[in-house]
Amino acid sequence: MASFEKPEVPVFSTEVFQNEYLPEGGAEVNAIVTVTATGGGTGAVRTGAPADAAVVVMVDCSGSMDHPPAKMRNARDATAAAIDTLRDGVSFAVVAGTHTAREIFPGGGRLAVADATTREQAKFALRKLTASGGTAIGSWLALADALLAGAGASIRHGILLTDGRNEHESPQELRAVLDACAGHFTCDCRGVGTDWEVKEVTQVASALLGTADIVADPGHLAEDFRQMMESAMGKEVADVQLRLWTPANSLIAFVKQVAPSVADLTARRADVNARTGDYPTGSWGDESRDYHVCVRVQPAGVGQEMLAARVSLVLPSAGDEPPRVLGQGLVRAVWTDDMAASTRISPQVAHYTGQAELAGAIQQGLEARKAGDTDRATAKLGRAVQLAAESGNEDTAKLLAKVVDVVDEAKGTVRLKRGVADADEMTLETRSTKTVRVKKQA
Amino acid sequence: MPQLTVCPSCAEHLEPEDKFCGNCGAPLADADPPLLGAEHLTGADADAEHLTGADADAGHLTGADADAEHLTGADADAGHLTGADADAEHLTGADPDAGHLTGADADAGHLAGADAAGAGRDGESAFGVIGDAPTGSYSLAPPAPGHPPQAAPAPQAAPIPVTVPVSSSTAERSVVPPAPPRAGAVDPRQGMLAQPEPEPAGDCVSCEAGTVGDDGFCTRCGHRAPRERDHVERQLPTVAAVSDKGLRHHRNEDAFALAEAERPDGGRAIIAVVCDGVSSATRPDEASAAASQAGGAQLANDLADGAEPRQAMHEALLTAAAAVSALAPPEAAGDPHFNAPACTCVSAVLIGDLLTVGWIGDSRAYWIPAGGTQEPARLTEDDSWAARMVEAGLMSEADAYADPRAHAITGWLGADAEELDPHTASFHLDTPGVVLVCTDGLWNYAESAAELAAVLPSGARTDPLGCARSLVQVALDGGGHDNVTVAVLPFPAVDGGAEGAGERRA
Ligand SMILES: [Zn+2]
Ligand SMILES: [Zn+2]
Repeated sequence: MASFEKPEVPVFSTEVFQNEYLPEGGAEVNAIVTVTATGGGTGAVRTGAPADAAVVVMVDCSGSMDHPPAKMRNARDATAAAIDTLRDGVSFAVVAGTHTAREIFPGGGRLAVADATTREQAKFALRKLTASGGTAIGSWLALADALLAGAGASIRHGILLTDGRNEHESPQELRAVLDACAGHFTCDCRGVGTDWEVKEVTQVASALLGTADIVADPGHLAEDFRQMMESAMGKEVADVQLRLWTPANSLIAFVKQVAPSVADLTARRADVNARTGDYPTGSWGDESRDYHVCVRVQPAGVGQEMLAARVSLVLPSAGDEPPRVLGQGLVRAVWTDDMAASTRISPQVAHYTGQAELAGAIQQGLEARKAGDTDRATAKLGRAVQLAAESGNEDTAKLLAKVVDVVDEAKGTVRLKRGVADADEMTLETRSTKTVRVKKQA
Repeated sequence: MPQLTVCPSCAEHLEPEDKFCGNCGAPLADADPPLLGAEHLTGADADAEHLTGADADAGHLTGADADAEHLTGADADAGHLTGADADAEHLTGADPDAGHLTGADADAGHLAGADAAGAGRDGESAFGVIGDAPTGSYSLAPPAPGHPPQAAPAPQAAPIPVTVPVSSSTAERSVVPPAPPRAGAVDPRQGMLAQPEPEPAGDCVSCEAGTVGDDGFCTRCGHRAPRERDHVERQLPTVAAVSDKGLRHHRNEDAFALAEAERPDGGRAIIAVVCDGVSSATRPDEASAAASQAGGAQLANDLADGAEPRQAMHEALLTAAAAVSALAPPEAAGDPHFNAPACTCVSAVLIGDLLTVGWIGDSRAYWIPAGGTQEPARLTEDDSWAARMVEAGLMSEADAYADPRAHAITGWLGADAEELDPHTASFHLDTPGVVLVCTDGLWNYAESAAELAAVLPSGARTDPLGCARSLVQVALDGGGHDNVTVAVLPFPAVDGGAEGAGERRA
């Protein structure tokens, strides 16, 4: 791109993959937009400049964290590992979460600034993380929101650990908090053990544009927390919006992130004007994400060409300044009577259509399995096995193989396993949205 | 992604992803590359220009651009490809004793007498043929065993985010009005960020309500605004050409260049170069633009320096091919999945009564004599699968042209061309007529020379531009499935230039 970026913001490049050729009367335009941010440097590499970031770690301290007792100790150790991973200059706080939220460090509604002293103080304070009480995740997030709002940092992030169901507030209460917090900060969520609800945790991560995962063995928490914090320290720019312009008389069928995981953004549009809307993408470090845009346009005649969508990454500016455009790609439509051209399917579009179907098949299959609908569960999970194999999604294939016995991978013939471990089922459900990128052609 | 390497506004070096210049903010989507010789085209007095030595180098080189889809065979009109009359136009280079041979060309061939239906009798032939080296230029090697003739390259999956049309500058005699000047260094991104979208009565020809943005799309309905290259007309005193997008393609991938050059002896060389981008290749529009401009410039330069016309023609085809090859990114070399930019090329040079043609691919040149005194003739032999099969004696003409592979070209300009085999031939003209140089977008609708002669408007010799327009209309009336381009060179040259150097020296 031309040089209009500030030095600390990564350079964004966009690439559009599509078959722009439509048959006569064709209306649906699909494209995969790959957005790659580079040049910001990751946390491991960066030194020097004070970090413009703030992180709040929320640790579940409900009574169940004492069963087994090692769980609470592992959570303390994991939080200590995360604190050790903080870059100097990053603002941070630790919150204990029960049916209410309590500041563990530094307290007083403030954040501490990371250095050798504050890190030691914080780790010492972790002894106050003790298990007793209930679970109201919304109250933890509300406190984190208030703490982060006072920090004035441009990158605001949360790390949330829970081991149980959100029993001490209603789903509506949690939803309301998520709606209030969305766009204020991003949040990665982890469920430890197997007594938590996958949908609750993924709901929080999705609303707050973070990752969700399971840490079935509390002994693995420390390594997981260190990685999460490293990733957070690598973020260079926050509040990036995917801006979509579409022509008059067109309809946006969907806008999805499809790599590294599937996340439907369609309903999260904020209108900019009649033909332009913004979709939140959260914060970015050096990373690459793929988006699938599907637009229905008014068909034009053979030989006509139109712009079906203009996809840009924009960064809102303070005050009256126009937002900065970080990158842009054009999605086109060209009507042709060349059947060879119009019947071609973009490999990228086909691949991610399959990955999205894979995620859906797993979720529907597990739901059917829980509901005792064996036929539907077998069909859906069989289809998932087939899709995972076709697309080379080996991680997902391995997780599926712990829930079903694979008879014929290519045909998607499976039998449901008996006595599946809760951890295996929850891992599959939590990670169902993870995708792989298009295999390089030989 | 198609790319310019420097900003056309401020010459700032550009990165491959740039859509706007990082220095001045100029949009790069519609940038016009400088046209060779354009500075010679601004004077008011055309005659003075092309007669002065200093200007002869670049001559009146104009370039034009235009789209092509001639490789699938599916869009070719098979009906007229099987006619027996095709024989009459086919030239062979076998017979060495042609009418107007000159010393150096003594090994040349001429019109195949028996087939030519009166046009090719020795000593009174319409024109002699000065063919290629002993075997003539029309023998095509049979396909190598195990290597079937290369069909049209497979359609490319489509990571083509942006199309950057490469359009030539407007020449002095351009009939197309120059594009309105663009706003200067205003960052075009701001346009889309404006909060209330302004909707004045727009300049969009599709919805008439939206305005066309800097990327060439209507900011309201998204339709691509017509591009300069969609329809291009040019004329010089002695030659004219028209190129049109046609009715079924979204882009014009044909291109042409016209030029006049003064020979050292004061004679005039009239030059027309026509190229047809290979649609299934990457950036075919850029390929044809590059080839026509490079080929035209090379011919103008060499002929002004006194080069022998067929040698100049050969060199010009190599130069044009190199220009197309240069469009392929070096990192794609050896990548079998990369479809390098490619095009055909056909050129005609008229110096006095000596006509020289050169070609690679299936774009063609025809001679259409006036007044029915001679038979019209096709002067080129396609580098196509069907032509090869017939030439090699492997199939009958009817069978070959009925085959789906018939129109797959076997020769083209581009980095992935297996071998470059420029064909050249020269002819002495001895009766008034016109030379047509065209892409398959025209000859698909009038394949034989006789069919073309039948649709040639009267007055073609005195109004070459009108003639070119009229021929383009024939293709459009026939369906306009492909891009269509035709250049018309009247003989004798319309302003009397062909009558000779002596007059001008006097
Ligand atoms: Zn063509
Ligand atoms: Zn419009």
